[in-house]
Amino acid sequence: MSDYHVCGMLLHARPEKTPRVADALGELQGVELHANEGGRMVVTIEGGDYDTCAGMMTRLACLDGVSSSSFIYHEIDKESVPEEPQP
Amino acid sequence: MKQSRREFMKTHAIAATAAAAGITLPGLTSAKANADDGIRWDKVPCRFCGTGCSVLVGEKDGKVVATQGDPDAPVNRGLNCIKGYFLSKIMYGADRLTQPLLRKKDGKYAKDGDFEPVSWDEAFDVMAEKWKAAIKQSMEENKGKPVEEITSRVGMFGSGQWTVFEGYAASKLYKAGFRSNNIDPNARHCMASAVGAFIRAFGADEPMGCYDDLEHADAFVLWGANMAENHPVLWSRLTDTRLTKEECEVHVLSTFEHRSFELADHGVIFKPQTDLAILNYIANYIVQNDAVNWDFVNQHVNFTKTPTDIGYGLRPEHPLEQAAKNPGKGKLEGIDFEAYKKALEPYTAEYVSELSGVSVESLERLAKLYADPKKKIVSYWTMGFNQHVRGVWVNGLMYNVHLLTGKISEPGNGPFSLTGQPSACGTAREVGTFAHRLPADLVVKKKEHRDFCEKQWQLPEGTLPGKVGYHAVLQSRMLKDGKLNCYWVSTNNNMQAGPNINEEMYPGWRNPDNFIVVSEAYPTVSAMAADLILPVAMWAEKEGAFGNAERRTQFWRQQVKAPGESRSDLWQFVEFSKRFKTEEVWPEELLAKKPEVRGKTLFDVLYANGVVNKYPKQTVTDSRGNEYLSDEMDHFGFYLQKGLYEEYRVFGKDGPKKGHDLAEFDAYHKTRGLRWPVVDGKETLWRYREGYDPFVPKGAGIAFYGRPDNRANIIFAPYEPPAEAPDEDFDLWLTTGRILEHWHTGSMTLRVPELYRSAPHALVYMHPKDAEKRGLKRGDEAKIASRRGEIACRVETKGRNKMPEGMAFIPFFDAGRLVNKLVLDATDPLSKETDFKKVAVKIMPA
Repeated sequence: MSDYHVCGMLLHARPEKTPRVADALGELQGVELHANEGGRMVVTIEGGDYDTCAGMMTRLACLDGVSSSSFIYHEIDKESVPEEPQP
Repeated sequence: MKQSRREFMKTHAIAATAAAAGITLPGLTSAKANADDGIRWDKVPCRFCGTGCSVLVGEKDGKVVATQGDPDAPVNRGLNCIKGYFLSKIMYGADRLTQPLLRKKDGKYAKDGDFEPVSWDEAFDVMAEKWKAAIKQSMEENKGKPVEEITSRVGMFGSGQWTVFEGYAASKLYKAGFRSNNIDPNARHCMASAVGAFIRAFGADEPMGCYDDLEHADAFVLWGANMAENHPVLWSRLTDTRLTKEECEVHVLSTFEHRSFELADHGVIFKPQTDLAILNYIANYIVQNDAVNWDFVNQHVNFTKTPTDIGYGLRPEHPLEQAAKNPGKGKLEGIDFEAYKKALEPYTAEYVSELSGVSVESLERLAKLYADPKKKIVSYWTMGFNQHVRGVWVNGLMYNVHLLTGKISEPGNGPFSLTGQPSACGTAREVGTFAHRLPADLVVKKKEHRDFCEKQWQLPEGTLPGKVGYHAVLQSRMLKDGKLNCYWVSTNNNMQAGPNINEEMYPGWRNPDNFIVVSEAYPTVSAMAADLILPVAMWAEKEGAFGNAERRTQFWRQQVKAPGESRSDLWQFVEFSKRFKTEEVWPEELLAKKPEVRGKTLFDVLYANGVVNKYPKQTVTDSRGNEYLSDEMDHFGFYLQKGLYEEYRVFGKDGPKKGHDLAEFDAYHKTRGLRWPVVDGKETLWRYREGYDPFVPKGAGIAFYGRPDNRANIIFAPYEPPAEAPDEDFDLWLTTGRILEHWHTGSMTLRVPELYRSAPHALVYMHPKDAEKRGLKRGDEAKIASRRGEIACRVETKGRNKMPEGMAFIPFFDAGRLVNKLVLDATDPLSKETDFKKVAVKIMPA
């Protein structure tokens, strides 16, 4: 089984822009919107490696309509723990 | 089994995120990082910007394996930015330096040799020999000179990323041990203008407010700060207030449109340098429309003006300095309100609109906001104000507006200078590692301050030199001119971050008369330009303390061991001191004043002095009984960090400048930091205001007690032009800065493969029409040239920055595209901070 990464992200958008942001999130693979209260959006990113998650994070941070993005949680499930440093 | 574990993990991710947002999701509990997988979790402040977020660091089998925004931290409340998210990886870059490297030829040190691994002993032997020769020469040159005139040929370029302990130990080694004030932090490039303005207006450094203002204010105004990319966690809190508080508004001013404009209710693009005029217009509007808070102004404010035509901090022979009437002058002159009012009169909406390119309506909207007594306003800025040839002035003009309206030192009202480094405040400023400073706002020029310092440090009277040392930019010039010969660069990458690399930096480092040492974790541009590289333990590989922008001091425990032979900067400074006998660094007349120091080493005198070595070796534990490493304690045999800190703490508690009290060492390991002054265990949220600040006398209401008369200075300063501007040959403005993914010169973030791949290279952002006019389009390789050098970058006309016509932007993180080759070393003549924001360039197809 490949590695599994999950990230919890909080996005902010001006209320008039949230429908547009929600639509855009729906198009992205591994991205899920779990709650939206007045422009405060709880989002997860799932992926097989750091790159996928990082790429998605910067993509969300710079998404049209997103005012602010924060990263709350990250966990990795690997076949062999602990993680070794990059070669 | 695996599947259910992964589902469990996802539930945690959702719950933690919802909890951080204050959103309740039915059926989810916001459990913290699970404690049953053998990971030890502990709090550590983030290694990057000046926000001072706390992160939970997960250690397993001697490695940092995970990080998480700390839900119990008042600063970030569980939030983290992308750089913080990858913190666990900054220590594990593939090219980490793990042993000292010396340039050698035929088995011996040679300036033109190649790097070879050496032992710490050999590294320090060679280094000490160079230092001793330079110090001997300095002692010859200083014979017969009063202490106010002595100079030195040894220097150090330090950091706002040093721990408090490192800054204090380095400052003591240089100022007391080597009798050299040529020690300056890279915070000079970042915060010096803010410092200068704080001292001029309030007589005390650092903001009066705190991050709690992010929830209390009704309006936020950004002046030259892209918080969305550079202070993302504070921006998240600000955004939350904007979205949840009725009638809250956000105004963003900049010389180009960046990510922070996404939230702005009012975005304002102004021409470089005209912030000086805009602020004077706002003050003029307040005065003309009787919006002055007279109760406040009459009781708490003086009116003054500053000398004008002060030059641009270039070499004295530069034509701009020759033409200046009052180069470097800053002595304030008292004036009355009428004179101040008259000085503001030229700054009409029409004149300022013409100068700045901002519409009259926009200017009026801003002025009315500040003038409205019912609106609570916080103004934020970073490098837009600070990296400015009139940085001290423009910081001061911002204070003028808040002082005229009395919108200061109370919840939701205040000017707030953000910082770019994790301990620019805690170390560079509070410990006083600048060429002109001593701990707790004391300065080398004042004998009374040197006397207090010498007493605390148990030094013979007259040990500390009274002449201000070489500041960052002057250090480069003095290296080039051969007047500074031994140079230790620690925890910064100045060969990439400093200005005018080709003309004023590189020649000094490679000058055959000089020996350059760089303490680094990675082979940065600076390390590769050095003669000796010392490998360092970084961040969680040592015990440390940082102080953030809201005066919050935060401690952390050593989590893991550093690789190979890497040693902390603290270890390096203290260990190096063992190589010097007092006779080798102090003249006979000084030794005669305290004969018992003869034959002793600087280690004995500075660190094994009965105070710093007072606390015996112990096991460091947390409240759950987990045990932690302490490599410095093991090596030196006493609790070095605690001893240094407790000696330092006396400066804030008993020193000549009041209001700098810190709590005891052990208190900080138990909290998520405390904001000074800390009196009777209680932190201070808003300084100078009765009821919040214990130093304000009862019944005074407000007291700006940094100044003898308890009054703050309103300081009139006019608009003056920048050092250079676009002309026929170099027809575009270029500004430099940072981006979300990379921190400063990328020494750490570029080693995180995911961040590298997210943003591998610096791009030149330009308006599509500017590109088209030059035969360029998006994605093309362009050559960018100034009068000092050229670089090549790909053109970006879309994306996160939208440039106005006539303006280009290049970030400085990319070691392969050294944008600071283009930058002129023009500085604010008062703060000596370089203006990295206003460069005249031409751009053409590469």
